[in-house]
Amino acid sequence: MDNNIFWLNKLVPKHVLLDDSEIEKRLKPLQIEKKQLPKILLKDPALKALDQEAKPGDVVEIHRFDDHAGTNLAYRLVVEE
Amino acid sequence: MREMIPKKIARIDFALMGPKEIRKLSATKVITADTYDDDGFPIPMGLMDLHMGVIEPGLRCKTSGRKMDEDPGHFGHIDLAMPVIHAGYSKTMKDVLNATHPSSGRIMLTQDRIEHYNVQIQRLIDSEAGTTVTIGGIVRRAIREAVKSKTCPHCGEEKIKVTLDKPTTFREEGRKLTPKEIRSRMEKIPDSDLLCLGFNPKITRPENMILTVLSVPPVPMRPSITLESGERSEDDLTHKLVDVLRINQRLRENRDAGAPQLIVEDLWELLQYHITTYFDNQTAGIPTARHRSGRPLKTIVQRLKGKEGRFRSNLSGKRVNFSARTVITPDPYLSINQVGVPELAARELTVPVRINIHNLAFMRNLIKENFDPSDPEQYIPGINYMIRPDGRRVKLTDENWEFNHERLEPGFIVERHLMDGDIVLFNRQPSLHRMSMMAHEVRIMKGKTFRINLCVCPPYNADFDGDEMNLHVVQSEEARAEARILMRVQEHIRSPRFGGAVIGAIHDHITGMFLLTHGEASYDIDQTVRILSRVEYKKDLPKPEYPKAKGGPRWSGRQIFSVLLPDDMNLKYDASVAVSLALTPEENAELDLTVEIVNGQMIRGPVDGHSISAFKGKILEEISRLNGSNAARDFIDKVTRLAVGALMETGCTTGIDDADVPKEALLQISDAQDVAVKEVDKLVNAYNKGKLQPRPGRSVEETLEVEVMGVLGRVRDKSGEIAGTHLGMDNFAVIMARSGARGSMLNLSQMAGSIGQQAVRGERISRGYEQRTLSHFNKGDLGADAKGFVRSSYKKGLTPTEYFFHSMGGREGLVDTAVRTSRSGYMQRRLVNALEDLRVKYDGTVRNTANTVVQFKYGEDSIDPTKSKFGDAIDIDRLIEDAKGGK
Repeated sequence: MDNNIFWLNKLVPKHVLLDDSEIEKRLKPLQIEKKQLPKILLKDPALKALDQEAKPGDVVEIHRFDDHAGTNLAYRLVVEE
Repeated sequence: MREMIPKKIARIDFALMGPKEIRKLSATKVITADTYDDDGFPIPMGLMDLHMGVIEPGLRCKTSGRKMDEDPGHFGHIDLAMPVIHAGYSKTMKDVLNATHPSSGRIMLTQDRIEHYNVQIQRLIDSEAGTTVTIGGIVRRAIREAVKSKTCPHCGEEKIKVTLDKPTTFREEGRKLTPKEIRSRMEKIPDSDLLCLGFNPKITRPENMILTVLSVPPVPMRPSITLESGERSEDDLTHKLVDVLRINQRLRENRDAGAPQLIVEDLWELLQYHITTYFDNQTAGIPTARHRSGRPLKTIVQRLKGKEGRFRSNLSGKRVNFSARTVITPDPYLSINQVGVPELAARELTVPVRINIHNLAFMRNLIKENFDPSDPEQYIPGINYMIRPDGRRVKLTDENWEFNHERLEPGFIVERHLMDGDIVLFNRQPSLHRMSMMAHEVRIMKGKTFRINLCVCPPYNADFDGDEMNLHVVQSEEARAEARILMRVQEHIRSPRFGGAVIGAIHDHITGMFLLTHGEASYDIDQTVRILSRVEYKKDLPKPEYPKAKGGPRWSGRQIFSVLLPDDMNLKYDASVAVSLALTPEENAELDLTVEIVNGQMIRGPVDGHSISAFKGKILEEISRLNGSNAARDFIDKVTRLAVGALMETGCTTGIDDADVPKEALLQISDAQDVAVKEVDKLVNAYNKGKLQPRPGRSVEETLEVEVMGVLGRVRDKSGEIAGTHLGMDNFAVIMARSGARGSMLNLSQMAGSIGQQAVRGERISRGYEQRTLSHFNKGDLGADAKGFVRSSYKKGLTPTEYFFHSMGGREGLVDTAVRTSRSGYMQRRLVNALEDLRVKYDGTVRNTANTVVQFKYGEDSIDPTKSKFGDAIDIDRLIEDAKGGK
């Protein structure tokens, strides 16, 4: 992840692919299922730039940072189209 | 009322109705184009047939046997002599025709591809996970692929392209296709191919896009009205159906009589026209059907579409009961939470109250007072209706009130007139933000207008030049609780937009407080008591600041104001007057223009806009953020009263002489202007000789403009300064401007000194005649006067050319506002439609009605902006100050 120039731009937030147990851990407190998450397209450049290959049904955790609110986590469900 | 069995709607399918369904739905067949016979009775099998519902009182519906207002009516049908195309589906029909082959009736895809698409669609229907793909998208791809293939894979024949002449003519190699042919082609398509054409064969089939039977809407949907002359006037839809029936009849007769092909075809097309316009009278490509008077007919689509259509006008928004509208007028003695309601309106608006043992006696008394008042001068709420436990409504009248008064008992509901303390919603259009509709407590008053406190004008954007506002009486206990907790004015003092106060002292309140507290202003015991009595101050008077003054002890204005401050308040900031003078802090302190509050006592500085106004007021901000909405409301109410009290002691007036400046000052100004105009001439000369050096990145012309604007801008400032030095704090206009009450020093300098350069599109005025603005000037004149520089002041008056330039600038301002409002209105509508179903759930996530997450944390920081300090959750500077021990 660090060797890809894509992530060097400060406007590109960090994306992390979650495995199944992590997904459950994150979604449980929200009391939602995967399909209620916002979506991200499989062809999204951020997913392509990841080290692991994402597949539809995966969930990515996005670490956003802004001066006002600090770090902030968001989750997106990978969809094919 | 009949008991209904509650059922949950699992899903709704929208589909085309075929002739079978339409006939099954129909209560009667319609064959005659006539409506009523000579006696005014509906003709059987006519357009007003009693089977389709009744619109006259007394008659009964022949289908359901119900009376006028009980029966929503029933559909009928017309059998069309020849099939006709439904213009709304012509695009889909074109796709279907081009994607299928007429001889095999199959979609022009190989069996494999059909399977492929079927599987995709089926998977989408079954899938639980979200995607961005829609059935429509898959179907579009399938159709595109089918249209592309040159030969049919099923029969091997080449296909011929069908073109559509909008709205309803289909051609195949120039030859017209009749609706009959199209229909038979569509009938030929097997069910198995329909899924990838976008049809679910279990629900509908493509041939239903061609009409063979026309559904006739129920009579109550198109009632005829009887004019005063006794003449009947039919609804537009009925008119259109009459046209359809007439042509249909002629077409049938001609066809059966074996009339020439040409005549039949003409009639067929005419029928097509009438049916197309019956659905949509604004179909592109065909003339609109008109009423005899020339007015375009309002047919089905026109009823539904647009702002005045059924959806936006009757379903998304409705007219309501328990509401009132009248002119608003100000009343500074009302709390910001209150609204003054005229007695006349209060007697019409009611609140339902359930009777219990506690309020029984009270309500009985209200009934009695209503019909037999003990004091006719006093407003006592009455009761219009009582609702018995069995649900019967009884109207109370002079005759029956004594009887019903006795019968009233727990379990009854009475509809009581509005009274003091009731909670109502108050609204002014346009409702652009949530502060446009707030809850107020009622105060019944004499007169015929709604009264409001002046401090709530800014959130409503109201003034009193004839503005009207709406009032709604909430009817249920939950609604009242919600209104009181969430919508009351005091809960909206702080805006969610930027975390500051939007409701605060305005205009006279600021002037008044300034006059009360500025400089050495002090008041004797009579004045002090008079002023303080307005805020219901019940404690002992503070120790007088000047106990030994001549004529008895005197209290400073600051002492009087401090009565409103919380005891633990400590603040230090510059007053509005200080900022506008732009002095150093030392000078400010010397001139007593820094405000300092120690332990709730104001020890220095005047109270002005920077203390108590909305947006800027530091004291208001502090109280509303730290002491809660009750304290903030109380503070605003009392500031209002105190300011009025102070103005009663000092007085404040402004007039034309406030713009007076000494002759020398005027001379100074005109000298400065002469110098500037000469400087401009110099620049213009340099430009004309080609000697002007262009600035980096600018052309010579642009450089000239920038330089000239700079020079003229500076004189405007300078003449303002000159005028300003002669306009001192003894001048009420200046007091208002500097304290932030109303107007600015710029406004004043334009009145007293000079108005300055006028601009259109941000540039000096350059439009009008060829190379000049007006015929008073030479061609190519680039001097100050020729391009819209106004030397005069408003007080002196403008020369004709100046006046003209000034009007040009003014016109631009008006046009801008007009354009801005319409554009931002549409933008707002789109935003609201996109965001209206979002809400913050208890777990802090933002979700829509589909319960999908939009934000995982509200605003990504979970901060309620109304409770923030201009967006920040914590006022860190303040916390540090406090930790250090404060000051």
